[in-house]
Amino acid sequence: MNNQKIAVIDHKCANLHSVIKALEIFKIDVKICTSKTELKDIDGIILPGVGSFDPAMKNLIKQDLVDSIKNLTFSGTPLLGICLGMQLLMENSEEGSLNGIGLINGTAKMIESNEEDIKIPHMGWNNIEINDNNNSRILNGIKNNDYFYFVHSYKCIPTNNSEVAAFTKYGQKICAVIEKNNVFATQFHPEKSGIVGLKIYQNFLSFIEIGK
Amino acid sequence: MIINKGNILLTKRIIPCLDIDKGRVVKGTSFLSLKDAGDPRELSNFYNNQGADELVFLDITASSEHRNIILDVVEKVSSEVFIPLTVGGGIRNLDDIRNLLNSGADKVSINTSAIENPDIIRKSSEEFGSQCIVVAIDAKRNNNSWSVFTHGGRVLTELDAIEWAEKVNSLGAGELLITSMDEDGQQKGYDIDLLKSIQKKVNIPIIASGGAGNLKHMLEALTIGKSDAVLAASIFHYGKYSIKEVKDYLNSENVPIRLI
Repeated sequence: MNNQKIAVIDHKCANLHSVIKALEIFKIDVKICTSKTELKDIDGIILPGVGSFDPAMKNLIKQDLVDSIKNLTFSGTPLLGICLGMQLLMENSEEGSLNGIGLINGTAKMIESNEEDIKIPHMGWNNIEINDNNNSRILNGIKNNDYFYFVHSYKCIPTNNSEVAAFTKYGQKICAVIEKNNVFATQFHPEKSGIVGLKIYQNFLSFIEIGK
Repeated sequence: MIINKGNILLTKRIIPCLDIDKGRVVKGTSFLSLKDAGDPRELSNFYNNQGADELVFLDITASSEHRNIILDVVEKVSSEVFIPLTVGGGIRNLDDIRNLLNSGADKVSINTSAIENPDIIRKSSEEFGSQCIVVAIDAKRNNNSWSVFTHGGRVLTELDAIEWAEKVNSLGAGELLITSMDEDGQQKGYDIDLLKSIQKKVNIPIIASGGAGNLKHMLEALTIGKSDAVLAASIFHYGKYSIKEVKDYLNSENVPIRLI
């Protein structure tokens, strides 16, 4: 996978460090992108995110990146959204008033917390259940009940249920992985989920390799 | 408390704590006698491979000229160990927090500076998100209540630990790291009453610290004490138990645990 160039979008609301360190394990070329002009000659896009919806969207709009991301994915460039980066792919979110990138139909809503045990944010290691109907490639080699590290207060609700590749349970079903053609996203942080988490990056890079 | 495994919410976390002085791991008994117990990178990889759910680094470096060494440690460890890292010790302001997060820390733990200036909790949680702001509380029993100490347990404050925990919760802290000064380094068990009392008053996760001596102590902190995580240093550093042994035991006692 040595010749791949992966763009990591820097919209100033993300902890880029661990994402980049995880990618470096696979010895690929990482390009940090803060503007439309930098988003050229790349084989894949990673949209990370920690923080809240509107500030991240506002920066993406200011950086003129929304349409570029959309156009590149429409023309087949693989994209991986992580945590807030997953929620930014939706049409909108209860957390903000701006529109999302809209690559996935649906919305993001606050996690429901009507029991004492449901603390928000949903923070910690939780296991996933894989949706057999999705035939996920990003979850290749990952088993039902494998654990991943989550930190979030909002959950994605894709309109089309078959785009949910896996979910987790936290007093309710929460979408954990989205997969739709060349668009992938995880609500958890694969770069903080140990060895099994690194597999997500490996699968993403393999998908790019096959498509090249 | 019986934990019904069929209705697992989140797994309980097992967290080794590495006290770091000038880039080296040390651990003392009741914060006094320090003994070198290894290289932070090696130890972090070792614990990660054993199944640690998270790592906590406490920078106990006193002199400010050596402060930046911790950034280098965090940078190196986070390039090799892909689990959440919390770093505490000597954090004075938002710049300190930003530098640690940019070096690869996922959370920071603040203690003394939160007491001197509680507004740092509100400001930092607004700027970086509650999820990365841990407030550490060092508490010592005083008849029927607990007093808060600062400066690594050397300075007594007028704060009541339970009230302070409630306050930092309302200011935006995302997690509490509760250390019993009475029990720390004694290996006689966590202060379960302290944990229970705080748990009743806050709605953020609690990491129990100070006093782990055997497997049952950890079980009690997680079940009777209702903590979300247990932190320990000596019993791991000196090889009394491996993380795996702790996890296998807790699993056999029906505590939800991430087994790897």
